[in-house]
Amino acid sequence: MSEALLETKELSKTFNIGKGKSLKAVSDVSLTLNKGETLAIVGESGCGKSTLARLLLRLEQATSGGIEFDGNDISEISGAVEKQWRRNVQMVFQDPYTSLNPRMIAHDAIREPLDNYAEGTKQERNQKAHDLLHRVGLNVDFGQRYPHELSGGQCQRLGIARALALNPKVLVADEPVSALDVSIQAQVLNLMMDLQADLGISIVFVSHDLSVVRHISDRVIVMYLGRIVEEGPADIVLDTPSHPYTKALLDSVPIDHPSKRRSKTLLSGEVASPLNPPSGCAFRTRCPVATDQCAQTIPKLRSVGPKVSAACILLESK
Amino acid sequence: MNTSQTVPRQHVQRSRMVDFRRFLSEFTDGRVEKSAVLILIAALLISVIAPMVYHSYSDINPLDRMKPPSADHFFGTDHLGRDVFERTMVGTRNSLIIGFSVAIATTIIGCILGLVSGFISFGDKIIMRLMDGFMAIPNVLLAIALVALMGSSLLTIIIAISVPEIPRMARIVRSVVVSLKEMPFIDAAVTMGTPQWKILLRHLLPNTVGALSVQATATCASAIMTEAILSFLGAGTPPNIPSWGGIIAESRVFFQIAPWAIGFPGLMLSLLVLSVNILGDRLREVLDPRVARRRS
Amino acid sequence: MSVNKKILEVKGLNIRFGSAAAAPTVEDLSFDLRAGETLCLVGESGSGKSISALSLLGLLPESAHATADQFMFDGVEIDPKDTKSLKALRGEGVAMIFQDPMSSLNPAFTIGYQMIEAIRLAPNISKQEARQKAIHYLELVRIADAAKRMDGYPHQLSGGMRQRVMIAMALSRNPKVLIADEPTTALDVTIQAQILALIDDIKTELGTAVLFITHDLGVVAETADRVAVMYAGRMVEAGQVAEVFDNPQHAYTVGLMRASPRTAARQRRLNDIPGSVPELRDRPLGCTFAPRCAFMTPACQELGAEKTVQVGTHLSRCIRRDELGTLLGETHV
Repeated sequence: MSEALLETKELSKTFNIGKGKSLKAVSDVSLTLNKGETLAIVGESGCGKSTLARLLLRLEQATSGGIEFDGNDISEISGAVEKQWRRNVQMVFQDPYTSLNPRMIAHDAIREPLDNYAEGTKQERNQKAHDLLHRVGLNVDFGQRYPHELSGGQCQRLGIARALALNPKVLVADEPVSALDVSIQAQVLNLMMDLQADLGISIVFVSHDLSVVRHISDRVIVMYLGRIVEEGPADIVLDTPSHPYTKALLDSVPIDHPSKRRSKTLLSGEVASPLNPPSGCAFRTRCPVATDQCAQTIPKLRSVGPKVSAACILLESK
Repeated sequence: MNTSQTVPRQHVQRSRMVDFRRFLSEFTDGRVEKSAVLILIAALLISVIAPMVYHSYSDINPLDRMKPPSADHFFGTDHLGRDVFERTMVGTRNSLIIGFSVAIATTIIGCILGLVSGFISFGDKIIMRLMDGFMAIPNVLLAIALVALMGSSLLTIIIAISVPEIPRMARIVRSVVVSLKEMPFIDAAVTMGTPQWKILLRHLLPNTVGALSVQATATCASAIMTEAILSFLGAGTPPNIPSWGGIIAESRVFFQIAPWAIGFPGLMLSLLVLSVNILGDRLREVLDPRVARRRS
Repeated sequence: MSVNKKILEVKGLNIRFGSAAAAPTVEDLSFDLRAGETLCLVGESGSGKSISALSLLGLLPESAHATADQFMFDGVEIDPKDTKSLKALRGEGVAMIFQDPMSSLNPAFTIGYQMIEAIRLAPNISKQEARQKAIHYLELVRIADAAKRMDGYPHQLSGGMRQRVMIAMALSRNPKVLIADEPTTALDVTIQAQILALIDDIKTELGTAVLFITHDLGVVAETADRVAVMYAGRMVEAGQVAEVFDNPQHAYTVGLMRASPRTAARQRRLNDIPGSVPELRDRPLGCTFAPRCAFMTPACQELGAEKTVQVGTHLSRCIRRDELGTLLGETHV
């Protein structure tokens, strides 16, 4: 279970946004995705979770740091080696519509990855596309439809079928259900859990929705302004959070029953600008327990409990 | 379920047939569109048949000068006694050839330049500055210069009208490609190992068709107009072949005495340009699967 | 429970698109709204919740026809087809905030300019007074440095701040009813919590009636006094928030609750609702939810199964509402 499949080492990504300014979207992120597990990356908008997902997919080139897949360094690969590697890691997108070519019918969309790797004969590829539609619970007739002729949930199923076509080892899902209605969201989450159980894929699940994350993931990484602030098993991190940011985030999540209403300790203010991040701990400007010391050094991620690490100088090291 | 082996392919083919039939029926949907299609078909037929039927369009007949429309001369005669109807009919070919050639040439060249410059950021700056340069050349001046240099011919005119139109097409295609490049489905194609050329041809090009068809038809219409202007200025096609612009130019002095000599070719010009523009808009709607579906 | 005055009373609201004979997009919608209370309209996309709210403001598109058996605002009867009186209502009685605050603000003008313009729509207010009022309302929605913010442009504000400005602008007309259409959907959770708390405070401080439209049951649990669940153009269940959560009386409400990962056990399959919301033209006879319902009986698809039955404050359109409790017990995984 705990065999590392995808690992990053102090991965950073800086975007140059002109006028000599630069934006550090991801800073020194080291993470490990084990075989068959679901790793969730959570945080608010601007925390760098989507950029991190794109780095894992090599849609962006990291500024510094390394990525290893199955023990091989993949941060510098290109050409045929990169193409062969790509089939291992596939993506599911947030917007089910814009992630599909509006002028390509569903069947062709699923066949495209198979065509790219010349998998079997044309006949076999058609058959596989057909099977994949069936696998994700889409009516086979939908293969002849254009994306705009499908509902959001159906498009997302199609996107998942396409991502599965190459039998990947890792699925990177960037907010795959946040654009869907609740009942459809449940269908897609069930589908993803079923597929994982059947195929043993590892999933990187990027989301801002803590209830969804709690439900689906084995481990959780909480990010704030490009850095990991807490990491650990989902049940521990989400039930007994260590970092003050994780605590605040969990406290903001709407309750599930009106009887649980209580006065909340709301976080004041909003996420600081990544163009001009605060010195020391980036969260200190909103942190209810921040001290002067927090402005001095950037806190390192360290173990604060069984399997849990957090980046806060106020927490005792364990 | 056991027969599913062959099901998918049949489906694909059948749906494309249906698509084509739907395309035709939707394309000619509506009274205005029907008229436009009829006018264009008529113009095409005329341009093929007229030069075969009419041979006396250049015959000067001093006795029949500036006669109003009659049973002998449907559109009347001009100041040299030539039949305006025959000249106008024969002139159709010129306008159509130039309109379509310019549209096709600018679409192909502009599309390639736009795709390359929008997709490969390396060539972008060079191509776009070059396009700015071309765009600065007024087409009428270029035509006069080219005619002076290479002699008056159909090809010269087509080149002269195309050169300043190409940058427009290239810019439009480029801007569409640049915005499409940011779409998640392009990222999706990259992650599933689609090679660059295939991304260009299968994902980007088909999605530029809407913008392309509008620009191509607009170019076609404006080329027909420009040709008329050039002929009017005397820098058009050789005078032995009648063209609408030429007819109008020759008869403009006698406008008050023989209005028919410019009225009829002018009317033909307007009708053709209007039809092409109407069909251009229609084409864009019909080619967009989203719009097509909504209408049905 | 609430003795407050009824501000808004709608009975038998129907909204049709195209012609007056078309199938209704919103059918037989009845609800009332009291001062100082929050009514949540919950539903998925296509349920008709937003279009119903727009009809209250006379903001329906040209092609829409709204009819109602009764439409009372603050004790005065209003014709839902009379756009003129609805416009007057919009000016004084009802204000609305939207999901995307950026598109509701004009990017070319300062916050202050837009607020002053809105306030000065009311007669006899000088520019100076309007400015004071604008600052007052910006402070009311807890914007720090309100006077300074007045000179800022919308793009200089974050999403949460823009939504605060929208709320301030809505409140500046002293509305009796505030309609909030998914006001927190585009915001991060920590900011959502701030905005929800703010709307709650406004309700208690100013006694404004809030009609809160959302798809998120969590938001309902957090803010609602009463809740109305909509599905495919019909209100399928309504009641006090506690009674609806404790004792849901419509299979769709139950489905929504159980589909939410919030209430489900970790890493177990969620109880999803199969299928999707029917298109307008495909709406079935009887109960619109029947084709997706786990407890459907033949009677559910007969005309009359969609009738509303009210017990106390609790209203439902499910013919098996009394059996639901036992049925749910049987299927619990």
